Amino acid sequence: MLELIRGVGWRTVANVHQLGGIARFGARMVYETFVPPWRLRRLIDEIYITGVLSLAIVLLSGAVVGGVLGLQGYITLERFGAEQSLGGVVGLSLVREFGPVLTALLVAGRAGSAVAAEIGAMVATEQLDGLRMMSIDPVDYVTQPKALALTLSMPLLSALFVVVGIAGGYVVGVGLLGIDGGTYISSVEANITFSSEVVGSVLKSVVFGMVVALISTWRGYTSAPNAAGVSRATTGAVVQASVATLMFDYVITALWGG
Amino acid sequence: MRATVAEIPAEHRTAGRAHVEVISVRLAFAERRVFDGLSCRFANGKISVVLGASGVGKSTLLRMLAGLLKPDYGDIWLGDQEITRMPERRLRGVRRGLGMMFQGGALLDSLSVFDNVALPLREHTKLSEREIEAKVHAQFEAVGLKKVDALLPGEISGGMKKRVALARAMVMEPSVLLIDEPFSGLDPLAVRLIEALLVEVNRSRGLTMILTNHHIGSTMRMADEIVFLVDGVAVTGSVKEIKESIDPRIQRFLVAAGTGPALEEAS
Repeated sequence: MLELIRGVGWRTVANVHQLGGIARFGARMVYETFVPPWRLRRLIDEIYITGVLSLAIVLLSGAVVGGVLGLQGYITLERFGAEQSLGGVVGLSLVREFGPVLTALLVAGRAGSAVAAEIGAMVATEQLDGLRMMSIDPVDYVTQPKALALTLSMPLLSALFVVVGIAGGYVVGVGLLGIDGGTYISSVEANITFSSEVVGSVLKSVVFGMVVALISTWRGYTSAPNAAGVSRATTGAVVQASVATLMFDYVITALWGG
Repeated sequence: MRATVAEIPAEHRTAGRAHVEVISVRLAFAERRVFDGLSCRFANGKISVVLGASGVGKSTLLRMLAGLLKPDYGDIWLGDQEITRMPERRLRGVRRGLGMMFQGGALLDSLSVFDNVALPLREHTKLSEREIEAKVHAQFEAVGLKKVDALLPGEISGGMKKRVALARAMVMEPSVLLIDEPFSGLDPLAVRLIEALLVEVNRSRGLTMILTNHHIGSTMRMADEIVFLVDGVAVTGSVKEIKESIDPRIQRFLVAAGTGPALEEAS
C-alpha cells in the first residue's frame, strides 16, 4: 500500500515537474519570437515543410469528411423533411468542430511527428550541443521557427479544410442527392456568421496549433539521445498532441457557448 | 542545491600557466559515481590527451569543460572564469573562446558543408559574405579539404566529417580546442592525417588542445601531457612519466594497449 502511495506521489511530482518544464520552454520560445535575431528565412522554410507539405493530406481529408457529412446529414435530415438545411449542417459541423479538430490531428500526425523526430535526431547526433558550442541557442535557432511555423500554418490549413469540406458536401448533396445548389449555398451563408463561427474556428485552430507545436518541439528537445529516445519522442508527440487537442477542444467549446 | 568549493587562490590557478583547471569535481549519474574528487590541469598552448578505459568518463569530462554538463560539486576554471555556476546566457559568451570537435562531427544535416562552417561567422560577426567565404575556404585548406562546399554532411566520409568539424571548431579562432575521440572509426592512414593536422594546428596557432583518445599510438606521438582517468580521479604526467608510472592500474592499461614498459622490454 505504502509502495502504491509512494509511486503515485513520485509520478505526480514528475508530471508537475514536466509541466513546469514545458511552460518554461514555451515561454522561452515566445520570448525568442519577439526578440532579434528574427530568422525569416528559416521560418519560411519551416512553413513550407509543416504547412505546404501537409496540404495534400488536409485537402483530401477535408473533401472526404465533407462528403461523408453531406451523405450522413442528408440521411438524417430527410427523416424530418429538412434536407434543404444540409448546407448549414455541413458548414456548421466543419467550421465549429471538424475543421479545426481534424486538421490539428492530421498536422500532429504528419508535421508534429516529423518535427519531434527531427529535433530528437539532432539531440541524438549532438547537433544541438554543436549549436551550443557555437554559442547559438538551439531554442532560438531550431525549435522556435518550427513551433511558430506550426502555429501559423494551422489556421490556414484549417480554413482550407473547411472550404474543401463544404465543397465535398456540395458535390454529394447537390451532385449525387439532388439538392438545389442555390439552396445549399444559401443555407451555408445563413448559418455561418463571421463574428461567432468563423472567429471561434480560427481561435480554436490557433490554440491547437500552439498545443501541437509546443508538445512536438518539447518531446523532440527532451528526447533521450538514442534511437529509442527518438522513437519515443515521435510517438509521444503524436499521442500527447492529439489528446491535448481534444481536451482543449472541449474547454474552448464549453467557453465558446456550445 | 549544488555545493561549492572555496575560492581558489589566484596564484594556484595561474601556476604553470594552466589554461583549464578542474578542481575537486564530483559527478554521479543516479547510483553510478563517475568522478569522485577529480582534479586536473591542462597547460596553456599544449596538447593534453585524456586517456582511460571505456566508461571512465573521458567524454563526460570534455562535456563538463564545455559547460554542457554541470558537476554535482567542484569548480571548473577556463582561464580566469569559473563556469560551473554560470547561467547558459553567460556561458554562450565563454564558449566563443572555445571550439569543440564532437566524436560524430555534430554537423547540421540540413546545411551544406560550407554553411556549417560559415554558421558561427554569420551568427557572431559582421563579416560580408565575401569575407566569410574567404575565411571558410582558408579553414578548408588548413584541414586539407577541397571542393566540398555544396556537399551535405550525409554525402561525405567519416574522415571528411571530422575534418569539417575541425574546420568549424577553429573558424572562430578559439583559444581552447576540445576534441572528442578524433580517431575513432578511422583507418590508419586517416589517423596519421588527422594526427598531423592537429599537431600542426597546435604548433602554428598555439591553441590549448584537450583530446579524449582511445588510440594509444597517436596519444604517445602527439601528447605533451596525459591526463589518465582511473577510478573517478586523474593521474597527470608527461608521456614519459605515464609510461614509467608504477601505478598498477595505469600499467595494466598500457600493457593491454601494447605500450607499457613490460611489453617494450619484452620486445
